Amino acid sequence: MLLEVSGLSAGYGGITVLHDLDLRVDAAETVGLFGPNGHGKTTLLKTISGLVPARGGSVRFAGTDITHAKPGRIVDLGLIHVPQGNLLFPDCTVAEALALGAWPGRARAREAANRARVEDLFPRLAERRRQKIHGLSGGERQMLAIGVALMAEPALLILDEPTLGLAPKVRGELAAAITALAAGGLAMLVVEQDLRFLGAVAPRLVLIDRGHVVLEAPSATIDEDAIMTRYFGDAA
Amino acid sequence: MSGDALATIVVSALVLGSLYAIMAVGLAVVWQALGIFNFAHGLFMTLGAYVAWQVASGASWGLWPGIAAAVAASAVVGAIACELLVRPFLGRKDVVLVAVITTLAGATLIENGVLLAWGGRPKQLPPLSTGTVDIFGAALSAHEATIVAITPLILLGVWLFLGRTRTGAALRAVAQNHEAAALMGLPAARLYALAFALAAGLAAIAGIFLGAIRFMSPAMGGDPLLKAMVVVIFGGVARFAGPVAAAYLIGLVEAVSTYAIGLYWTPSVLFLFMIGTLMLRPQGLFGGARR
Amino acid sequence: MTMRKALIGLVVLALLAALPFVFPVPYIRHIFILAFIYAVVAANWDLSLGYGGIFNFAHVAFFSIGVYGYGILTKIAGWSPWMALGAGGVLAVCAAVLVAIPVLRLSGIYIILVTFAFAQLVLQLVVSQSGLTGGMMGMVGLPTFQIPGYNLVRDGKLGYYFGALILLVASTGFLRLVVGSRLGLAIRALRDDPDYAAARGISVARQRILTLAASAFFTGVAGAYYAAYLRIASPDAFGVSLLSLLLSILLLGGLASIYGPVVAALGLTFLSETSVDFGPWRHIVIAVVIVAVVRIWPGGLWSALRRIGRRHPS
Repeated sequence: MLLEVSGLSAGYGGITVLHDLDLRVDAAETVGLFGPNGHGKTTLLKTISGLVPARGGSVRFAGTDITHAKPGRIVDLGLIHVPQGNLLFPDCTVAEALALGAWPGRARAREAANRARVEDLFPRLAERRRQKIHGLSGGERQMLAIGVALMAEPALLILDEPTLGLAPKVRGELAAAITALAAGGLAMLVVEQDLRFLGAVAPRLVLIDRGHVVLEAPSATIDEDAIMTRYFGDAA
Repeated sequence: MSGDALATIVVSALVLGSLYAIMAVGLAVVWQALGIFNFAHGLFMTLGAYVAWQVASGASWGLWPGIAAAVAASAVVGAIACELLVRPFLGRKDVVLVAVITTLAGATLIENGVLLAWGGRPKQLPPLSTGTVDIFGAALSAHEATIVAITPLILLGVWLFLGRTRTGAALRAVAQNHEAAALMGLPAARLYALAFALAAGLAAIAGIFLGAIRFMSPAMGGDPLLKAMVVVIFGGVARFAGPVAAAYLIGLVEAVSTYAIGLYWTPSVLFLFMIGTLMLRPQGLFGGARR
Repeated sequence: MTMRKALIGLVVLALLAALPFVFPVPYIRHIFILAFIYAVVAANWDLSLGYGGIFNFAHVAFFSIGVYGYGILTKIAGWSPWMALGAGGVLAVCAAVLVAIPVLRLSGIYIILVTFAFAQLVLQLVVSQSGLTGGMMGMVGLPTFQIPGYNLVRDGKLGYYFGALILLVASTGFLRLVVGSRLGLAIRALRDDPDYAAARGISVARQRILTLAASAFFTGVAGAYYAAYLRIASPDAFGVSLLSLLLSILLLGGLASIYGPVVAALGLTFLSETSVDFGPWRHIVIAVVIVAVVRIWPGGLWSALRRIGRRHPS
């Protein structure tokens, strides 16, 4: 088991958002997380990656307890979280961002090779190496965000709503890229509202409602339309 | 105006501009990295001058060890100031105001510390080089010529560091998106301290420049800080080129004004110049300050 | 204002009025006089800084303009001290309007820099015109108030004490009026949400000018009173140490509070004046206290105490 979350509780100020949450991700597995807004998905990711302190329970990654570890240490261990929204660094260039992605010591030696692989995966980034990030489109920024994460040689990649605000064509490109990454053996945890997208990239889906897991099933068996309607009104 | 007078003005403008450029770049680095204005910046200059004096004249180890010690000491104090006076408040909505208060307190602390350690009597640093140089009819000391010559190199070095090194990019990144930077493993606290240390080191160099031209006193940093403030108001703080260009421009204005109107009224002229610019262009002459 | 607050205010006022008779020590009265003056300056600064959210760092200059205005008018122009007292306030208001103009369209850090530079400019002007102002040495032997038949220095400066207390009461009353008025509401709206306020038709420029001018009047009067009491005018009035003292009063007392700065001024002035003999250490200690207070009590000591008082649910 690569990532093991047990009985996790966390919150902000006086509010507890996560209640006794259990989750696991195995090596080379892609797990999809979904659920209504404000019910803890982003909080869960932030608690795992160390931005939000855990109040109870534990998080283990590759055998190491990272429940109270700092974000820098978690990145060093190979757990990379790509946050929601993809503003990145508006005034830096694409090349600079990718170079910064290779900040962890172990990733620096293979920076050139990794950059080549990222540009293979997202050819658009290769064309825009010297462009400033604020000049990129939403889809390009999202690709860059994922590319930057890949530069750190993650063992587990966490994506928070990668298709948020993106057009269907770009979503398709992203889905293809993520599937390619999964095929290459990278473990991933993907949070998404778009159940069809999620079903296409993740074999196992987990539903989070009010801060804990209420449903866990292979994506093939889930009736996407029914769930979308139940939680989000008519399927978009 | 005679050719000699013109040459004197230009030379004076270059010397002043060099000093102001080094000071302003330090302010700009801190502003870009942390989003605050450091009112203790003048005191980093003062501290640098005094440490250099102590090593060079007090202990008689020579000027170059003095310079090295001054830059190092100032950088360390800068990093400490960042950690104690600024970083604890970075999340607050009113961080700019709080930082003014705490860095002012820090400035008071350093100034009185210097007063306690070295006393109030004026001192002077040995010049970087001795003798005089004649340029187009204007006489300037070798020390001043060295200042004018070295400053562009220093500025170039800082520019290259910020724009072309991984650490420089990390500094800029951490300022633009704190959360994303944290999730990439960029060490925010260390980078902030680095920005402050860099600014303080630059101020120390300016202090060493100034300490041989004018008499050193614990309050010596006040006027340069004020001028540097005018420079960054003018030139903005968002880009590197803005403050640098503004620094030399202000140097020129000051040189011309001192020649034409005299020393007493020059501060008023500068201030009016600044006010006038701000009323026409609130974002400074070289604009773009989005913070 | 609730009945309880009004009662507390009256009690405090009575205590302060009775104080000089309970402690007939001139030195203590001296400290209180200074404390009242600083309280006026700090509380008025709170109007622009705390209520208005304007980072006005020229406020100390309003005080000094009152000081030097009084000095020049009485010593050189031969005005009566009473008229010069009022003139101090008027001059400060003029300075405030002058400062307000460049500040109208600026925001945040630029206001701080411009107003700070303005204050330094005034200092340089004052020091450079040494024929008028005595330069770095300042002016001494300023004429002071004359009440026919009563020497104010008598009874250990009793007259000055009550004069300062009256000034404080008048200033506090004025501030309460302003804060409760439409101007007060408008500037708070502007501080909290400038876009919304602008959409509601509140003019940023006008409110800023009015706020700064309002904050300047009693500050200038306090400056003139300071000069009349000490009978000197010196560039120290512009100094960073006064700025730091005022800031720490505001910090301790809490921003956007009318009575907080008054209480804090009393405590801090005592601390500051009784430690004068320690030389540079005095400033170091004050600086450390400032940083410590900002870290431990972000809202000011006064608001922390108020929260304790409010702990009982209503």
